[in-house]
This record gives sequence, C-alpha cells and structure tokens, in this order.
Amino acid sequence: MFQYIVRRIVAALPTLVLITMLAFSMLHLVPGDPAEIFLGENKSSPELLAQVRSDMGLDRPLHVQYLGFLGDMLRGDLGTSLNNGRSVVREIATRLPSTVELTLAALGISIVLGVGLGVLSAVRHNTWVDSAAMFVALLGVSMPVFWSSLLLIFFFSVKLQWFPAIGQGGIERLVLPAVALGLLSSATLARLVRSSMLDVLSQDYVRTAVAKGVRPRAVTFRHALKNALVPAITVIGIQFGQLLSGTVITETIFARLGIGRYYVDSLLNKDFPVVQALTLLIATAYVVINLLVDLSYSLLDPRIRYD
Amino acid sequence: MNRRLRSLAALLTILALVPAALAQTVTYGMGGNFDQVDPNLTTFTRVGRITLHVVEPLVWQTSPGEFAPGLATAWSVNDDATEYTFQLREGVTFHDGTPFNAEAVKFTFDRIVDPDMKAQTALSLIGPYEGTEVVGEYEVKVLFSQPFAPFLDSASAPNLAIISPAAYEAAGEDAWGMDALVGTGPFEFVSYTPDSEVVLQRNEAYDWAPEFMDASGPAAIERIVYKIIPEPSTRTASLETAETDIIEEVAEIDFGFLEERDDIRTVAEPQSGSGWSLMMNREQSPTDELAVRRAIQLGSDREGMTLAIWNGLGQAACGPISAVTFGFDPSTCDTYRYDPEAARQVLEEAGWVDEDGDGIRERDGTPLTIGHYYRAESALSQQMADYMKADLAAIGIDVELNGLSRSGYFDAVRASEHNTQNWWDPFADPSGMRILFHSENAGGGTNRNNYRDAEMDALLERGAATSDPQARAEIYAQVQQKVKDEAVMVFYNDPATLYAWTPDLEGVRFFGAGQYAYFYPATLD
Amino acid sequence: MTEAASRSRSTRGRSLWRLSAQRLMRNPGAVTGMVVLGVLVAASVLAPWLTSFDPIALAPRDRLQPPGGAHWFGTDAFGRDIFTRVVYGGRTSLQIGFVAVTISTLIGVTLGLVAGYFGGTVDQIASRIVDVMLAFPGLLLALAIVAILGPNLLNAMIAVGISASPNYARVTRGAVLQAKELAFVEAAQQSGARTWRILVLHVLPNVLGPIVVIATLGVANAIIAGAALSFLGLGAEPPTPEWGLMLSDGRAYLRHAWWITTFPGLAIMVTVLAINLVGDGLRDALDPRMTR
Repeated sequence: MFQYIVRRIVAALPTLVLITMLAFSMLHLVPGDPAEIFLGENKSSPELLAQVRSDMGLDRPLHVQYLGFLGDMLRGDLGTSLNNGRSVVREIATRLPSTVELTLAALGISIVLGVGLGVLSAVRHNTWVDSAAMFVALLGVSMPVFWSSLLLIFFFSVKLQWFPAIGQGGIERLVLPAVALGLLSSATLARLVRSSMLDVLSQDYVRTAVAKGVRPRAVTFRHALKNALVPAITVIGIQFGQLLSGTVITETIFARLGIGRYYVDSLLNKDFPVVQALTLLIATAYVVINLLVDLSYSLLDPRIRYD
Repeated sequence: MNRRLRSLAALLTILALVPAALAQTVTYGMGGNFDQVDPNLTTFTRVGRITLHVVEPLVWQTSPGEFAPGLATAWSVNDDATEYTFQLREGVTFHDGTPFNAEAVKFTFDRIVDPDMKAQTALSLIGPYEGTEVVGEYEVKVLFSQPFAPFLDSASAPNLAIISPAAYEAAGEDAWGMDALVGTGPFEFVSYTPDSEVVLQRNEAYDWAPEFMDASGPAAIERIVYKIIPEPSTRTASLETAETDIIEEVAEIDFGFLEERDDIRTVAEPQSGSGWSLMMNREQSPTDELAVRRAIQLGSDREGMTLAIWNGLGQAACGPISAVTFGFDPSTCDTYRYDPEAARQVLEEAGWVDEDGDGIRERDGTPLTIGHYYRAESALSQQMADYMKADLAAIGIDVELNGLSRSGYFDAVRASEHNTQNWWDPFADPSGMRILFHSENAGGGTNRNNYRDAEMDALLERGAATSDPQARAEIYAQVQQKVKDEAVMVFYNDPATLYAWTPDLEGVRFFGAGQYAYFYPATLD
Repeated sequence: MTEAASRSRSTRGRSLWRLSAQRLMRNPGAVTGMVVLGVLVAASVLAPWLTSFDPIALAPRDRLQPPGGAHWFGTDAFGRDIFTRVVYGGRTSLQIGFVAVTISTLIGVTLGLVAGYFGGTVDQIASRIVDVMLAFPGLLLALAIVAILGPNLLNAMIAVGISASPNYARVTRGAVLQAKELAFVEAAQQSGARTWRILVLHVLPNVLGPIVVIATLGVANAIIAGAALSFLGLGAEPPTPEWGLMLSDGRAYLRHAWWITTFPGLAIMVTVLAINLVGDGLRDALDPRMTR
C-alpha cells in the first residue's frame, strides 16, 4: 500500500511540473502588461513603466523567470504578489480556509442530495418518484450558479432573514453558498448512483438474496449501496474541479474570501507569482484527491487491492 | 441537567453582552477592492474614504472653495501662489506617540514626489512641488516652481494627509499600507485583509478635532469595519439583513426603493469633477475628423442614457465638469444638445453617405466604423458600450465593440489603438481637467484623446496659476466652451454618489462632494 | 466478451440502432425532452416571424415594463422587448452548444482515439496532456483561454469547447480500449488492413455511443458555462441577445423587475433540462446492459 502511494506521487510529479509550465505560458499569452495594470488609469511614463517592470522582475528572459519560480518554490518561497507586494504564501493562507470549508460543505450537501435522490430513484425505478427525483437533481445543473445564489440570498437572507448574506466564518454563513454549490454537483452524482444501483440490483446475487427471503430493504442498503458507491466515488474526484469553478462565482456573490475569486482576479491582473502558486496548489490537491479516491476503492470493494 | 442549565445561562449572558460590544462598531459595505491602504500612494478614491479616518489633512474643504483648519491652524499664500505658509496645530500626536510637527509634513510631501514611490494621484495633486521648508517646529513653507492656485484643494485630500515618519521608518515600505498605517486621526489602523476587510479602532488620545466638526475628544464610535462586497445586490441585501450599517455605491435600481423606505436613510450627493464620458482619440481615423466627433456629440442621447443606465440618478452631463464643481459654466448645457437629425446632417455634409443601404455610412468606399474599447468585467462599461452602439447606429456609424479583460485593455488604450473609450474622474478642483486635456498627458498618459492644443495648454496652465476665484472661473469657462466647440469629448452623466444607511447611524458627514463618508462625528445606537 | 456479443456489435446493421431508437422512444422523459428541443429549434429558426420587436434597438422610455400588453415578457432596462430577445437568444444558445461541442469532440475524440488505439508512449503522452488539462478546473481554464483570445462570444465558445474536451478524450479512450478487445478488430489488424481504416470503420462506431451521450449533455453544459463567463464579463458581448448575458445583465433587477431575469433563466432551465432528459434517454437506450 505504502509503495503504491509513493509510486503514484512520483508519477504525478511530472504532471505537476507540466501544469505550472502550462500556467506560465498561458499567462504570458494573455494580453497586457502587469506593470501597466498595476499603474492603472493614471499617468505613466516609459521610465516609470520600465521601473515597475523591473521591480516585478519582468524584464528577465522568460525561461529565467520560470526557472526562478521553480527554484524559489522548491525552497518554499512562492514569491510576492505583483499586485500588492505581499507574500503569496500569506495571501493564499488567508483565503484557503474559507474555500476549503465551502468546498467541503458543498461536497457534503451534494453527496447527501445526490446519493439520496439516486437511491430513491433506483429503488422506485420507472415510477413517478423516479422522474421527480431526477428532475430535482437536474434543477441544480440547469440553473447558472450566480442566479441560484442571488435567489437564495433574496429569499432566505433578505425576506426570511434566516441566514446572513455575506462573509465567512461559522456555519450560518456557510449554508447558503454551500447549498448553491452543492445543488450544482448533486445531479451528476444522483445520476451515477441511480444507474450503478440499478446495475447492482439487477445482478444475480442480489436476486438470489431476495429469493432467499432477505428483506428488500436490507438488500438495498447493505449490499447494493456499498458496491454502487464505487463508481460514485470516482465522480467525487471530478466534482472537486467543478466545485472549485463554482467557488469563483459564489465567493464573489456572497462576499467570501476565497481562492476561486483570487484566481480570477490574479489571472486578469497577470499576477504571475499568484497564478503559478494557485495552479500548483489546485493541481496538487487534484492529485491528492484522486489518490484518496483510488485508495478508498479498496476499502469499499474488497476485491480491489493495491500492492 | 443543572450543569447544562448553568452553561446555557453563561452562554446567554455572553451573547447578551456581545451586541452591546458590537453596537459601537460601524460596518461599512464597500463596493470593491483596492491595492493598499496607503493614502499617499493609492489611486483609489475608496482608499481615501478609509484613510481619512486614520490620517488627517492640513485643511478641510467644507464646501467647494471653502477651507477650514485641520492640522494647520492658519495659512497664507504669497502673491504669485508659489509659497504656501502653514501654522501647524500644536499638541497633536501620532498613534505611535510621536509628535506631529513640521518635519512630518515635509516627510509626507517629499515622499509623494519621490520617484521610487510611484505615487500617482497624489503626485498630480501636489502639482509643481519644489520642496517644503521647515521654518519652525510648527511652521512650514511649501514651495512651488510655478504658481499653483489649487494647492489648498489638494491639501484637503486624503492623498496629501500627513503620516508619521517614525512609524513609516519602523514599518518599512513593504509593510506600510498593508500592515501598518500611522497618522493623527480619530481612528487607528488595526488590520487589512485584501479582498475582505479593513478594521479601524478608536484613537482614545484624540483631542484635536477641527472646530467646524462640532464634536471633540475621542470618537463616539469604537470600531469601523470596512467590508468589501463586490456584488451590488448583495451589498444592498447586507444592509437589509443588518450585516452592514451603511453601504456605498448603492445599485441605482435599488436606490429608488431604499429611498422610499422609512427604515433606511439615503443620500445622493452630486459628484464634482468629470462624470461619465467618452474620450475620442485624435490619433486614429475617423475620430481625428471634427465632423465625426461632432456627429457623435450630437448623436448621444444623454438623457436616455441617464434614465436607462443610471436609473435617472445624477443628471445628464453638460460639459467636462459637473454642475457642482467650482467654475462650472452653465452655458455649456445649452450648446450641442442631443439632435440626431443634426448629427446626420453633419455627416452628410462631410461626405459620409450610406451608399449601399446597409445602415452604415461610407466615404470613398471606407465604412464609418469606430473601435470602442472598454473593460469587459465592468457591468457599467458594458452598458455604456451597449447604449452608445445603438445610439450611433441610428445615425449611421458602426461601432465595433472591443470588450477586453483588464490586462488587454490597458495594453490597447495606452498604445492608442482605440477610437473611443470611457472616462470618469471625481476631482474637486477644475484644474483637474488637465488630466483630460493637457498635451503633457497625451501619448500613453491619461489624455487618451491625444488632444494637443497650445491654446488649451495655455488656458489650463493659467487656470492653475491664477489665484483670484473670479478670474479662474472665467478661464475655466473658456476651457469648457472650447472643449465643446471642438468636440474633444462627449459627456454622458454627472453621477451622484449613492449611500444608504440605517437610521441608528447618525451624524455621518460627507466631504469631497460625497466622495468621503466621515464617521468621527457619528453615533450608532 | 462472447462470440455472440462481439458479432452483434460488429453487425453494425440496422438492428442495433433500431433497437436503441425504439428504446429511446419508449422513454417518456426523453420524448418530452425531444419535443421541447424541437420547439426550441423551430422557434430559433422562425424567430423573425414570431417576434415583432428589434432585439437590439433601444427604447429607454419604455424601460422596465412588466409583462403584459404588447410586451409578453416585459421590457428590460434599455426598453428592449424580452420575448424577442429570448427567442433570438435561442439561436445564440444553439450556436454556443454546437460550436463548443464540435470543438470538444474534435479535440477530445482525436486525443482519445490516438491514445487508446496506439497505446504505449503515444498513450502516455496523450494521457498526460489530458491529465494536465483535467487538473485545471473547467471554468478557470476556459477563463484563461478567453483572456488570451479576447472576450467575445466566439472565443467563449472555443474556450468552453477546449476546457470540456479532456472528458471526451477519457471516454473515447475507454471505449477504444474496449473495442480493441473485440475479435473483429484483431481480425482486421491481422489481415493487414490500414490503421486509419480500422480506426474509422471499426473502432469509431463503437465509440460513437458514449460520445453521442456526452456531446448531447455537453450542449447543456456549454450553455451554463457561457452564462458563467457572461457573469464575469468575459462571455457574449452586448448587445447580443444571449440568455446567459441577459440573466447576468439583469441580475441587479432581480427583485424589482423580476421578469428580466426570470424569462431568460427559465429558458436556460427548460433547455438544459430537456437536453439532459434526452441525453439520459440516449444513454439508457444505447446501453447494451439494459434489458428493460
């Protein structure tokens, strides 16, 4: 098991390097000069621009800049933001907890909703309950996140005054944004759980169990669910990316600190050190999550083993 | 059971105390982000709103052209406005305990003009600054290489407010404006979390409130928390859920409804300076042609725009400066009014005719197309672009919209690729028009019209050099008329700064034509 | 896989498609979806005849009219008729879906085919590329691409297409790996048939099923992604009548002029729901394991 983990991590390293290279090149392709963005609308002179550029380290050749970043990163130094001069590590550290708690909460909601609706659908297959459950699951996917977020704020914050509209910290501030995000990803999960449960339920060993007199309820939850969850877990790895995309929007609307917002702003400002660091962070998280997902397979399905 | 009841009681007691502690915290909903909380180096007006509580200016502009003592108790200007002498207030200390004196004033001003600092707004406000002479511990003489009439206006801005040299040296340039800001104001800087909030705490030692404030001693408010809430409807929602006590930049559509409510106070302060406008680039065809620019000027429906985009708030603009700005020439409201028929006429006479019936005019085979550049992420810019395109389509001009991300936008407009772009500049003194029209700002600077006219330059320079208000007003009237006669720019809307707050918050004062909401004299129930 | 099964796959005759089509028709959800989509396509094509207002012209004095009278869906802040803009918006949405999915398919299926069929180093490289793209959350990748190309509708479609392609690659690769095991493919290889012939004539049809499903769902995702980009100001440019842009532009009016957001929003919802129902139906119909 341990060797397997190590091997996976080693195999992932080239991918991580490639990703930072991709981010670096893409950012350079984005039109605009970070020095000009920094100076904004105000008066500037060629000398001023040149000075700002050199302060930002942008006058070095590209490969030097990139290698410089890699070298610094290996020493644990992620640089300073071009936008405000603060340490990137510090800036990310301030924002990361809020995004993590939002993503986890949204994931939780999406799992509860997705698995719940999926199981309900499968068990009552081909009835109106099936259609209704799938319909509800689909609602999340068919509404743009910014719209559902604004509606949630309007109804539950302003009208009913049940939850605060802004900020981070505390469960009450987490509910509305997590629901908005969670609704989004519950559909895929619901579909998957439904179809894999249908698969399992139709398999011989289940039919045998039912024929032997085991109560249908027990069959569903003990045998079918466990095995049906295997493909569902896969989806969670993908959901992570989708949820992170969603945080870009929910963080702006709910005025929460967060990595999603930070990413977009830094991208548009061509804040190289920040974008590099965030890309690396997100890619690493992606690798880790996929690894965890794969490892959890062996927990759920004793037939799957890693050595 | 007993233990549980006791802990519950304890919890309830604590919870009961919390509102009392929080009652003296004003939570302010801010419209957007900014770079750093450094009053002297920032380019954001928002930052000035915050820092005006932490640092103080030498003088306060209580109404346009009227100045009251701040950190300076008295002042005099020499005949040709090249020397300003200030008597400074004694017994004032910075938050770090060091005394406020002439050295601090010199330090602050010298730092602004230091090229390493890259100060922008403050640099242009401080004008032809030559140096500060420390005459005595509480007397300074500020020197200018050329006559500079608007200096008092500049000195009243937070951009020229005084900072503590000792604290700056101790904190260092990197931390200053991020983790440290020390001034003499009624509030002390506690923290800045980018994208999130700025926290200020009451200065218990504050004892030198200017007389006109009608308040003295430490502020009644204990804490101010500026929360950044970028989404306009969420900002409004936060006021309604009492998560904020006051919000700025209220969405225009929300403002009307908030105004009608008894449980919310609102104010729409007309802004001074230059409102929302269109710059037209002389270095690109066809906006290099007067006829085309005139047609755009005559074909822009300012009233319609004010209604559609600003929900009727503010007012349709007449010229380069708004009606509340000193030196505003009301005659500009009667010249070159919206007249699409006249616009079409002008184009016809210039030879721009629609030959092929596609709705767009041509001349010698070239279609009349202009490239409008704007920031794609700004909803307002999008709306202005949208409206403008339709307005000009009605007179036969094709507008090619180039919505660019922040990065691409600056690239393009500094390189003068645009025919048109929008502008907005809330300056207080009409000398601010040099930002828009002086040739020194053309060619990649703020004068994106690339308008270079010796007569205009001369007028602007004279305006800044003349001390007599009447004479200044006459000079600036000429500037405004010339701008309109030559169709240098088109002016859409003189906006109003919109605030809304809870009636529990009283005594808020607004300075700088509504730009700065000031909480020193305020109380919160 | 048994001989019989492989034969039934290779007998790519009418029987398999007809069977799937029949199954699809028996699925009430899918049929509803198809009807709705049919109405959408028809409305988009017939837009000029169904509407009486100019979708772009301004009429500021008519602004913010609630639904009723001449304006069935009311007017927006610029006085434009919302019904007209929703109908024309259908065209734009179809365009978005089509362009984005075409790009995703071209890139994704090619990568997946090549990776799955040739295996070895080619597979390693292609899979690496897919991995790298997957590690970038979809919207962020699309955002970066739009920032590079410049924010307008076409670039938004391209960006969405590119950012969605890794999934197509993965699915294709999986299907190709399965197909490679089939007896007839080995037979074709042994008989010396040229690679591209094998790919196109034998492998591709097996891949078609799953791809059709994700492509269908991809249209829905493209519309939603387009709306997200519009929210960030990097999607369709004004005054294009595009549902996502209308929804985003109108969001300040959510409370005071509910019709400005509700109708484009409902249009998106109904379309996406219909597409999902059809996609799910297709998946069920094409799945050989479903015997119901």
